[in-house]
Amino acid sequence: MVLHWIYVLIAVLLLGLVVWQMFVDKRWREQAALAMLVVPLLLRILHIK
Amino acid sequence: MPLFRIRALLLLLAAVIISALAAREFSGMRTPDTILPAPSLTHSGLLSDYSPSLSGTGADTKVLVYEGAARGGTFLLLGGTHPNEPAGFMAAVVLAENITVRSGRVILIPQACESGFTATDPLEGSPQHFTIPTRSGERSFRFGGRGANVVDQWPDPLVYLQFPSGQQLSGVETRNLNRAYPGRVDGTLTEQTAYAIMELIRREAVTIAVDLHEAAPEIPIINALITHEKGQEIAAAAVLNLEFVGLQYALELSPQNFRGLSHREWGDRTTAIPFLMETSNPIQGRLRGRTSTALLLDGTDPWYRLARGLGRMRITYEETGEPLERRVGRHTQGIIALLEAYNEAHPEAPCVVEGIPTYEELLAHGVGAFLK
Repeated sequence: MVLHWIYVLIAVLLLGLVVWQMFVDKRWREQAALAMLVVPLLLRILHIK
Repeated sequence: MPLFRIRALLLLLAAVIISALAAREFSGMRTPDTILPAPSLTHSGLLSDYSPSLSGTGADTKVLVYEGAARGGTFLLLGGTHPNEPAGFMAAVVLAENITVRSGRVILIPQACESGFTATDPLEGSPQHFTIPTRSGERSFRFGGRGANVVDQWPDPLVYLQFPSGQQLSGVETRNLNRAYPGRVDGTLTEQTAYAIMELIRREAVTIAVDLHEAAPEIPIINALITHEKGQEIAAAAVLNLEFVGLQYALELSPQNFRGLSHREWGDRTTAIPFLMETSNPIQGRLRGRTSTALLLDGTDPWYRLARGLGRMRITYEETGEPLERRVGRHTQGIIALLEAYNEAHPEAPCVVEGIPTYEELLAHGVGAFLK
């Protein structure tokens, strides 16, 4: 159970970094790739998938 | 605001919308399948009635009990141990909606691994649902994954140490209900599920138990009836009875050193006589082509047909495929044969069940004809 919440915490931190990078990166390809990463991270954090 | 920030905002918005759409799709698998029990249902409960630790978890599942007027043996049937094996689950649903018990009791757990019905296996491209036409219209059922949903049980260890044997298996098997028996009350969710089923068998004094499965056409135990040592005579008589109706079953003995399996642990640790039946399901096979609802229902696949033509298959793959009605029919006919053999061996406490559709009836009318 502890591992589970550590995993969720890591996922939240990663999502934060991904979103932050989206807003500082000026290259549209990288921004699009980062946006794609948001989807699985969000679903995982919300315990949907 | 600079252009790249506006672009980031729009992309983030798109990602959130896509997440919401995907969430809606995935959450749909949390909606339980509708099972409409026959009027002879005596009462229904939950698996957590036998182990409260399951209450409120994604693993809790329905338990249906049908009692006869006369006393007799108690028959337990598990479907959905592996939610990607729909014939086992559908055979249990067909029984739930049709049977009348004359003597003894029947206990049905149609979706033994409820958590597994809420997610498909990664990288398999499996459909999430399938529909069957019935008298009351189309009914939809879920097609899940082999083990419990990772959302309910995570993480998988690198190596799964089976309790209490210490047997080492691949880490993913930690979510496989049919490697978790006898389970433990404070274990993983899968071990808790296995523990609750063991408790049910003990408290309800189950005398004969059947676990329904399917496997890929290339797996050697296809079309097999697996028995614990104490069920050998009943299984042999059942296989003979099945030969009389034109169905061949391989009689396999449960290996004594492979732990965690229903037919091994139920037999060793309870008074129940356990059996497991397998049918051939091309949607689980490695040779399969397009993984679709049609393949799930019709069981026809061009690559298995080609392999059959080349003579590379261990089993006979019918030109007409392995349709769901045939696979469910094999299970229902197998149950009829096992109960007949059990009743012959235990005339003092028989379990007499009426209304189980036969193999021929299912082939002639389809699964939907036996659903409300």
